[in-house]
Amino acid sequence: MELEITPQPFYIGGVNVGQSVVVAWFVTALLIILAIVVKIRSRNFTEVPKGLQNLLEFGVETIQKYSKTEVGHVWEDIAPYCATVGLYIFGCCMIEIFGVRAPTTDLAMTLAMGLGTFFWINYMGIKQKGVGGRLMHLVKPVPVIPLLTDVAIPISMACRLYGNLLAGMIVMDLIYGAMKYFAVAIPAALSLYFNFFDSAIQAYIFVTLTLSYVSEAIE
Amino acid sequence: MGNGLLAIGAGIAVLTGIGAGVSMGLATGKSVEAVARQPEAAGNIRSTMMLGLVLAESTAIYGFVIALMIMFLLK
Repeated sequence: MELEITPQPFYIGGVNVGQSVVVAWFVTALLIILAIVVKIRSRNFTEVPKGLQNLLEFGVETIQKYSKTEVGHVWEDIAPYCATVGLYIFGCCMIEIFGVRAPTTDLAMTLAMGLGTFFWINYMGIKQKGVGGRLMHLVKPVPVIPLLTDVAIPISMACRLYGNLLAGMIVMDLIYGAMKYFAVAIPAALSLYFNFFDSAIQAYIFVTLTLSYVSEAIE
Repeated sequence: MGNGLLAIGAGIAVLTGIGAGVSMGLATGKSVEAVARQPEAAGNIRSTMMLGLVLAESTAIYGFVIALMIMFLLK
């Protein structure tokens, strides 16, 4: 039974971009199409919402209220990033249902998301306190230790996402391999946990940790 | 060295799951005690517990990732 840890290579004009990047492009295209559809339907939104507008306002207000309670007065800058990253992670894991290997089972993709959070933490810190204030944070309690903590943030976020989703993918592959031609009902019931619940929890934890680190950098 | 020692190394690397399991069990026990003491705060306690559990699980995930890299990327 074939079990590969690294995804398969995919060549565009001699450059190896990998299978995960192409699937991520596909997920991004789906999200953009969804956004365009919502924008077109928003021409006839009324003052009193009903139907799709109700659902959308509920989602947007949930994320905005959550950002406001965690971060405080800079929630307008950080709430769109949180919503985008949450939807991107959830969409990337949902692709697993169609038999395609999810992009988040590649350590390079999750490291990119972790570096995005790292950029936002430092950007918010510099905007709030200036470059000198941000560098003062590195020497505050003990001289070099906060630098190690800062470097550990994107690595730990990448490894957490990668490890959880790779473990889920391996278990699902083992079950499909063991049930060969009788894989009818049990993989669907298990994929409810591994593909829906686990990815939703991981997206929620990613957003919560981003907000918590940003609120710590702003103080 | 062969495949035997690589397999033993990967097995030792996954032993970090012991710490994660014990700590997550203790955290869940304390949160159940807190809910029993004050049932109105159950939603708050549940979301705090989920956050703590996912953070404590990350050391087990580190061991798992290292074991995978030993088994599949070292010859």
